[in-house]
Amino acid sequence: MVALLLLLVLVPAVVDVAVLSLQLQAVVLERLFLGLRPPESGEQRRGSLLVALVAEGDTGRARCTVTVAAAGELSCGVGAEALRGAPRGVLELPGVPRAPAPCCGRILHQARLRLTFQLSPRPSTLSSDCAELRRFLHKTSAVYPEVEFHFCVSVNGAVASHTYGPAEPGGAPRCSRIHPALGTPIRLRVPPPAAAVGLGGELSVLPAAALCPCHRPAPNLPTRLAAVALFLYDPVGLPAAPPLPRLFQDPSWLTDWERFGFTAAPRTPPEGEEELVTPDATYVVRQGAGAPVGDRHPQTLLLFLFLRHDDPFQAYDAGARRLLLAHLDQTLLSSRPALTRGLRTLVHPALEELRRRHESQERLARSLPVVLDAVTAVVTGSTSARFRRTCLRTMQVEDTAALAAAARRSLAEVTQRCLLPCASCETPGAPGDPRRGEGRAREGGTRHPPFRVRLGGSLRAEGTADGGGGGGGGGGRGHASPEQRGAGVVAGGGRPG
Amino acid sequence: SSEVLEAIENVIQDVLKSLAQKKAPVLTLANRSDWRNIEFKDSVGLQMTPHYTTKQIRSDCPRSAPKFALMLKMLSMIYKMVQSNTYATKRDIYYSDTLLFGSQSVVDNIISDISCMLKIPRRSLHILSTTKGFVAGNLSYTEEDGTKVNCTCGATVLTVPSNVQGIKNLISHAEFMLIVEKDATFQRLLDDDFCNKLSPCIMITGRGVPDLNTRLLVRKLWDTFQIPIFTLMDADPHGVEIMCIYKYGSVSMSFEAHHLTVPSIKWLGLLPSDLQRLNIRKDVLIPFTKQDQKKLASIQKRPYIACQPTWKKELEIMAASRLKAEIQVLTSLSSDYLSRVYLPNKLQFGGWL
Repeated sequence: MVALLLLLVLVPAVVDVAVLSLQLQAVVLERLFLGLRPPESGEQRRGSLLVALVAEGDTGRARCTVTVAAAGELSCGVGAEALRGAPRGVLELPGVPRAPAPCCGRILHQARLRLTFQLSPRPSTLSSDCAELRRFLHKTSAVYPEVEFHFCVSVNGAVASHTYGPAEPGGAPRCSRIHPALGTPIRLRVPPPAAAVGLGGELSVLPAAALCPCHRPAPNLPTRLAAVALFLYDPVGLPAAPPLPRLFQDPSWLTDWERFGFTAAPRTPPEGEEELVTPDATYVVRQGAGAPVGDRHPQTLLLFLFLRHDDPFQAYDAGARRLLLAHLDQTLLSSRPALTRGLRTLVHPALEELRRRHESQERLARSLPVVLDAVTAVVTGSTSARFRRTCLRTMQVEDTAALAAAARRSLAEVTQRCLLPCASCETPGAPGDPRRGEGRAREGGTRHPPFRVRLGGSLRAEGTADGGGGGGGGGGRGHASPEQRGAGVVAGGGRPG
Repeated sequence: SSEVLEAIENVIQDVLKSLAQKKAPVLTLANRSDWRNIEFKDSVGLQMTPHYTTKQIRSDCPRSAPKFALMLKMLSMIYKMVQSNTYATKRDIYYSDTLLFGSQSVVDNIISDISCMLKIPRRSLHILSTTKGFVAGNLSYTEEDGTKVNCTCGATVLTVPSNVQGIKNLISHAEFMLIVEKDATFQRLLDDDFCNKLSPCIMITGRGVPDLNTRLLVRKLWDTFQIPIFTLMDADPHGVEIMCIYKYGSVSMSFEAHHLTVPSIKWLGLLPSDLQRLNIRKDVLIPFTKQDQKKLASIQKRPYIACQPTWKKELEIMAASRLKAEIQVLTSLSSDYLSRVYLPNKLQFGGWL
């Protein structure tokens, strides 16, 4: 990453207090990502983004200095004019910003774009504002897996930081992947009010689905679908803003859960899951009555919805983004039938995959007692003392009853631990096969660069895109940390400072 | 039988050793139906190459675990039968647990795999198969249980014994043996008292594709009497293939070729060239189907045809005409042409290949 020093001088303006995170989201970060030039085919955006916040002072008189710096390719192509003009409620500080904390020094030193401004937040909302900003950055980092996002907060000298960065090569454990299957773009119906206020062009959604964590290399590991997590991104890969769209409130829009023996209900993310990318909607999934849960490892079905906006007359800028988000709820609701149809082509194969897995495991489970009975029958029925002695000694037991028990334990253990090579995850023609994605990417439109999604520091998914910006998706492979917790949660991976 | 018990015990020991080492037990099988594992020797026929490829049947893979389980189940059943000196047919084994085995062909395949894996003939595993072949002619023997059998041509036709290995005291004055493809032709020759009209002979039919016992009997008679063996097949690709099974063996049983093949077998009839020579009318001949063409093309590529130029020529005649004929076509000349003219002439004047 080549770091060029480029300081931007913005016209200072002093206004009243505004909500911190919304200010930063609406202006600085949006301007940065919206201003990025479209990636070349095959290009992955790389770089570092620093958002550092230093709050000093006592209650009622807190003063907050915010530093935003972008280094590496992330800052390439972003013209100075893209960020010119301080946001309302923000005081631009001239000069080279000093590192708010030691952890920020590296990125600051390499940054081409640096922006420092001051504002006076409400002390009562400072904590929640910081949390909201952190979540925003974390969710954005999921679709920019090659970009390091460093968020640092210092309040009266107490520093806390989070980094969402690319995984070190070779450091990920076995099959640290998810395997997103791409759906075909789903055309959305632009509601008349949105069109009336200027939201033109075509609006569509490119869906991608993956089961997380991937247990394909462990075919005998009992699993269960525990949750479905939905993520909604705008055409440049920024999270679509809350509130929760009405469409997402009832999981029945996604699929006929009963057909697969499931029930689903919406779930609000519990407290304490700060290290996780917060989904825009989560559904808890339960098996039908009578189905064993036991020690089954939970998996989450991740559904990514990448909004796409194609308008030959107007680029997707901050204004278009605001219009889109303002009418997003109505747009999704009015496009429900198309969305349901389109998503079922993704969701059903994933659920079928789970069903086939369970059937295979049942087949295996039925075979094990036959094996044990046969082995025990030969050993107990043998008249060769030498043979029986050798068998007992091999299993380190005293008698044939203990041999049967030891063999049963061992057989159960080795079959469950069976591991296949990671390459077995990529079966030709299966969801996630790049050839499938390649085929889909050729369906109309131009090829776009590969997309990658990260759901935590060591979790990413990748594929070839057939959509706009960094959030478009194509068929491909993904990476996920096997430590991902499945139930209602998407993997964490931030490195708390 | 102690060899069988020891072989099975070795398999069980290996399974337990794997479990003790926390590894998934695995059975290794030869790819016995893979042509790449087959070589041709004109003194033996089709046999497995010394360095054959293998496949693993794993106990921890959902796809192969059922087969692994069934193989161990079969081994435990064989172990018990050998210990108690009892026998069972393949059909008996299937019906002992139809739900577990699924189908007769699953049982048959597993038995062949075990026989190949342990390198022990199926008959030594105390598994019998129901024989469908018939034998008649100048032959007598004593079965293992002491029963004396006389196959002299008469009204009764005898089934090929199910325990060929156990027969002894074989006596025959036959000057040749005739293997007949079809039961209908076999019966016709019996009705015409063929065994007694010409020189004394032995007639055998597998009634289509021969089973193991019929092949074993042919081999045993060759080993015992060393008399010429001739085949009488339809002039079609299916008949040629059946003849090749007797002579050179089959791919799936190549691991037992030495006990099942008689490479010196001669092709007596019905030759494709006979159809031309006897001026058989074209309207009684049958055009080739697509399957016939495919089968003939496959046979022509087999290694044992290359070393038989006369057979190769006959197959080329068949391929060129794209017509086939059953032996019964000779009745278009006269009703008893087969036993009265065709066979005696062929045998007397050396009309075999």
